[in-house]
Amino acid sequence: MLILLTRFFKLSLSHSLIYNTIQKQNEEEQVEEEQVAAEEEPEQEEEASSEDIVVKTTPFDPRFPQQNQAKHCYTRYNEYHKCAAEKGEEECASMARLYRSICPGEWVEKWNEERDNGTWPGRY
Amino acid sequence: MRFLVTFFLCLAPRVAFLDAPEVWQFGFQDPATPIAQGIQDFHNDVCFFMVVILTFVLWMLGRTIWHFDAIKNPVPSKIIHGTVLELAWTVTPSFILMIIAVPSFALLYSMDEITDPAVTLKVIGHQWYWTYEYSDYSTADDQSIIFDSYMVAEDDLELGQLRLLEVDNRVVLPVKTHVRVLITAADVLHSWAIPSLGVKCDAVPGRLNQTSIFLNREGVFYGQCSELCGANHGFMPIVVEGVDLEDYISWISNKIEEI
Repeated sequence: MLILLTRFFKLSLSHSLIYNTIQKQNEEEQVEEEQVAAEEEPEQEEEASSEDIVVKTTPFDPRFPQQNQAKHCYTRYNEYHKCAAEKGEEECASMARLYRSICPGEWVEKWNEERDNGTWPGRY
Repeated sequence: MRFLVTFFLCLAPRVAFLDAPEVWQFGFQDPATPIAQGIQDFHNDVCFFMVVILTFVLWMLGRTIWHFDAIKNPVPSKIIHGTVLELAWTVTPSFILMIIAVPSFALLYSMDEITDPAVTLKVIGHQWYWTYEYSDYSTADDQSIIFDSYMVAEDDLELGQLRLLEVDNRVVLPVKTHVRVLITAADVLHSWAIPSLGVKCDAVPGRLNQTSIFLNREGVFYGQCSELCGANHGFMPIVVEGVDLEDYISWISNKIEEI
């Protein structure tokens, strides 16, 4: 019984350790990413690349904690077009990146076609 | 002298990770993410309970068979009810289950944990190949990095390449970086699975499944489609190449130039 109990405590300890490590890594990573983002820009300029590569993507959105991110993609797509309709495409370029990062190309292509044909059910 | 050098070289510690299946392999592949490590540790921990229970049950069974003998024990035991015994064999297993459940849930929830990602990889399953998309760096809808990943046919394999596992275009991901993987399918169900990364996620048409990867080390990780998807289900493998962040960036910029 004693062995079982010790084992149990060891188990919960090891698994909470994994969880904590992931959390810690996340925090460290965020700091690192910011540094990387800051470092990368000058490097890319030196290479005279056409675009600055910043390792950055659509952030986690607490509105969509589900495993299925289809609605996340659809909402970001709509949000961009709402913004573009109100403020103009250039001002909303950063929002376009948000949906492009997470929406499959085929989906966006299909939606864009529907917009061009005038069969898009959305408001914008 | 040469013999001595060879002998000591053989003794020197060397690391070669197992990131692909091996002939007659019994154990797991080497973990490359904290989640894969967690899964394997949990498996080993559950095996401890399994061995304890197995030993106990076999001991009881053996003892019963051994003592069930008309000559040695002419008067058999006639116990038909025992409250204490029944309580014990009900409470003990449920207690063991509870002990297993705690770390199991901890692992399950840590798998679901989506930490703020730095890279998004989109995976689209097709009959019978995978399409990968990197769109974090695109400035227009048609400027994403998109490529198909087909299996290398047996006749085209080069020396050292793995049969039924090698692909023409590998996925490249940075190490020590949180990667979000979004998985979907364009025709039927598929499943994107890589054992050493602890990832197995169904690709469902119309659904965009999210999972995350944090590579602990560099390497080439092999996986296969894990949901029956038709005639060539066994011939659409997955290869992920874990590289340094700087190498990843230069790979991305090369890909962007190709567009």
